[in-house]
Amino acid sequence: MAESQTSHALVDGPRSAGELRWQVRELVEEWRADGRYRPRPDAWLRSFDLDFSKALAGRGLIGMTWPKSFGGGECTAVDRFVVTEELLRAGAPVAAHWIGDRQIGPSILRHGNPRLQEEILPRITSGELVFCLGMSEPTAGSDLAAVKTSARKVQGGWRVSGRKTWTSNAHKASHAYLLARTSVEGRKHRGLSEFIVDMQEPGVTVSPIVDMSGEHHFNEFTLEDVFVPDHYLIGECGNGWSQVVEQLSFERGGPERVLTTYPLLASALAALAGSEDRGLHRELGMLVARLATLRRLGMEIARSLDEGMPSIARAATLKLLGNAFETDVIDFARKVVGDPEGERLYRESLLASPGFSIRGGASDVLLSIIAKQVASA
Amino acid sequence: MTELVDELTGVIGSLASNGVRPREGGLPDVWETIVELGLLHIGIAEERGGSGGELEDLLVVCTELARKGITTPFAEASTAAWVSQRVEGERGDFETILVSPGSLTFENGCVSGEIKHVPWAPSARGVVLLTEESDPVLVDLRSDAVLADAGGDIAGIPGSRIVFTNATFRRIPDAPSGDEIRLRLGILRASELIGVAQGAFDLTREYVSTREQFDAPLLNVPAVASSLALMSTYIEQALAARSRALACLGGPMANPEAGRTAGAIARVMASTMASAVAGRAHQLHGAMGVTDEYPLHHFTRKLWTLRDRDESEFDSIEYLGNRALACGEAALWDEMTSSPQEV
Repeated sequence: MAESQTSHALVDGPRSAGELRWQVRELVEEWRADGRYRPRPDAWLRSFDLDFSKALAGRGLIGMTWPKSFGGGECTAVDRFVVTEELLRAGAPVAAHWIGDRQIGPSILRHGNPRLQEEILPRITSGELVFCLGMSEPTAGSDLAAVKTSARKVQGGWRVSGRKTWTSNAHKASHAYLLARTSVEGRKHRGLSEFIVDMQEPGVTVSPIVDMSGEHHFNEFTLEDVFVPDHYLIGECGNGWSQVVEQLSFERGGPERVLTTYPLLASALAALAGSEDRGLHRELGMLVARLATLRRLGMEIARSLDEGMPSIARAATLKLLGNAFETDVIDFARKVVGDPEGERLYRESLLASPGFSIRGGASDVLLSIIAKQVASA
Repeated sequence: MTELVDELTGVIGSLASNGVRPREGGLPDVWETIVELGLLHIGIAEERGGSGGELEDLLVVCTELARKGITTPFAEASTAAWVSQRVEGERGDFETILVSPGSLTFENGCVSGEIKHVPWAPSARGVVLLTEESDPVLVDLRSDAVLADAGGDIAGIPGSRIVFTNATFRRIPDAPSGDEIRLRLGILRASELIGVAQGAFDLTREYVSTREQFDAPLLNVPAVASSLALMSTYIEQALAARSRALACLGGPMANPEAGRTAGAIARVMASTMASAVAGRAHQLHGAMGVTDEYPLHHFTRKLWTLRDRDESEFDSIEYLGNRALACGEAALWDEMTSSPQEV
């Protein structure tokens, strides 16, 4: 299918932000008109469609900032930001490629060996691979450094054993990112390493965790002596902690920390048209002020990535404030009587909402991260 | 730009360290120095008698003065000077500015009516007012047609109730539009509020890092650390809103309504920050923070008085909500995502 080919070759020269925006809008409008997806909140987690991801790949919209030699577009982080916000606005089904594009690809680019890069990166940009995150464990959530999954060295690679949990879309993933312990000496933050794992390898078992909305995206997966070849080690053995901390700040500072419930806000805005309720007008005004501001902060974070000056505190701040905003949108929508579509969006948003400020860095923990940063400034 | 920022910051720092205490009831001693150094007229072209430089440089001065606890009419006076392009004057002369002067009548070159409170009026030479049509005019505050009763506000900033009885006004030739003026004043005011909040934050961080209870700095208490962190997030948010509003000033205002909206957003985020930072700063300081002797109240009282100055937070929020409804989602989204600018 033509859509599955990476078509950066079709694009002559760099695209402007406006052109990128229109590319996304054209695609989502076409798909909506054809009834191929319905907009939903939290789509980047829950709305999985490999064909859509391939359609994006065909337009050069996955791995946008990566080198062209790997199928990337060599665009800026701001360019990627623009595409991301349009996709989230549309509640488009982006879950299949999200993790690979957002953090695993960048991590492999920064730390992966050439063989790993050549093998994996072009297959992310083509929309072929699906990644899940093997990070949390039953006894290691916020305290990620407490992971116990172990990797022992064998001929030609490693044998990995352990148990990961809260792994979204592991049941559909072709590969996992894995944080594992390669040494038990010294502090727990040392002796950690990052790997790619082929989910088809013998010894990998995935079992579902159904969430409170009745949906299945979470999983637990176990590894029993799973073989991982040498070149699937990302970066240095034992350097996993500082590498993963860097990855987390990519994870935290994006527009999906603000726009998860945007489809609901758009619906509530439409439902409020013609209303005379000044209280609701003021509440909307406050939400608009926060949204515009958080969008600006997200764009500045993207710019700082382009300038090579990422900030841990700012990314954590965006997530903290953004998650609060996403939840406040739901409370606003609750007061606005809507149509069945609005009711559906409200219900989906509300049932997904407890996860917003827990995943990717719980608010409570983010506050202590920010506190450490600002106290020593 | 960075070098200039460092230089300006250094200048303010040395002004602050010259024994300047926030003084109630009048202009601080350093005001004349601030004016003499030309700081007020940064952002006005040198050919027009200004000091040159960019608006961003002016904002650095505004923020730093506030951060160091120096209370001045810098936001008002620099904006009024930019509107009127009037840079001459002696010994710290300045005009102040009001963008919501309420129910005044403008007729035959004269203005009549009452304004309940005009901050800095006792020290100001004149006031720039926006008329009903939003054209700016200049009124001399020292004329006989102006009656002023002095009073203060909660921060001790001097002000007056003003009654105009057929006071002559002067139209300002080639003046910026009302929307541009509101946006610029909004950005200056947000900068001042951010500076005051940063000053309160600086004091608070110092306090919780050094004050010990339970055999350790207060900062070791997780709730204290979280509260300090939250203060910083409100300041970050206000900074982002201000830089968004600044981006609207990039060129001639293609969309004045968008500029006005951006200014309102900057005001609202700065006001939200002011309330949150003031409350938390006091909470984290404990009893020490409510004393007259300890400097915190100079900052928190200014946060409380400035958060509704020029245009109230409440009115701004209502304006934003009404506008969002009038625009609809598509236009709202386009406006929110209009930067990076297309070339």
